[in-house]
Amino acid sequence: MPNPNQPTLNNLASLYDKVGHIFPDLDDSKSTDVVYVTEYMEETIKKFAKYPAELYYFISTVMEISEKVLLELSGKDLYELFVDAITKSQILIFKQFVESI
Amino acid sequence: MKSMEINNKQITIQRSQLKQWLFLQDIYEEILDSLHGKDYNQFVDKFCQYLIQATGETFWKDIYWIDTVSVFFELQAVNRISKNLPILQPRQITPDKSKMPWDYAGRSWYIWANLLAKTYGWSVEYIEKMEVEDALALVEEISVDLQLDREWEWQRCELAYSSEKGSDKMKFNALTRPEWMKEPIKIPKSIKILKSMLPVGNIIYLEKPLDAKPKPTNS
Repeated sequence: MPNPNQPTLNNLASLYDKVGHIFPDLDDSKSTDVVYVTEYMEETIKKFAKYPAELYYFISTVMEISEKVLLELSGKDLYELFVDAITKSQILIFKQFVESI
Repeated sequence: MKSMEINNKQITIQRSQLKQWLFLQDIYEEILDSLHGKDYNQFVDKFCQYLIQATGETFWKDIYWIDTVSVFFELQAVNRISKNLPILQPRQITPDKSKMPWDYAGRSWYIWANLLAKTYGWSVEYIEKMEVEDALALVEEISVDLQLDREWEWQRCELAYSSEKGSDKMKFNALTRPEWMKEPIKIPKSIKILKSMLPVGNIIYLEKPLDAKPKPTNS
């Protein structure tokens, strides 16, 4: 049984295939800068707001919550889940990796 | 040689011999192609194929991706070429990657085996176990010999000469060399100029409008 906190390459590549294009480009040299990370997250949220289908797919797949439940959540709850999903999915590390090889 | 414990198994990370190294290089090219084409299914397949070829283990699709990627990076590091060969230097002109009708995946090994066997008369079994850096250096030497032979043939051929306009003289058109055989472009040396040779008076910067006020001088 695969560990949900330890995605396989297949899981992540499939997720990245569907939503990766929405994440803005990363500047590796600034990845430890708190201000940069905050701005990056704000930009990501703005971009995802324009793609609701991808936003719901992303949160639902990573957090294992049905899209029907997500539709009933408040904006604040959805935002918190979205931030958690970015961390849990490890999608930003995957993006760095894909861009580095 | 290095050992890593992945999925409760000891994975040996060791430098590949020539045949294996060439197969891995071909798969690596396919990994890059799939990423450029944003074909992530193919990317996963090729990535795992690289690891299967290098380690003999087949579980790469079922384990934590960080483990998969760590082994890949270790393999890349151990198979890196340390010799500073001109044939491996970055080129100013990107080579044409369009494929010939007789090309196929995994052909690199057969090209190299053919080249080395034809030149030195070695057996395929001997060539496939060669140290990669030795093979690369020898292939560079073979390429130099071939190019110099071609240049010799070329300068004895009529097609190498053309007439200059308005003159009876013939001009020699040298055979183009591969990028890695050309003289590298050197940065011009900085030369000191006598102060007396510098322009006098106010310098007008032409990128600014002509009616802009000149900068006041300190003197």
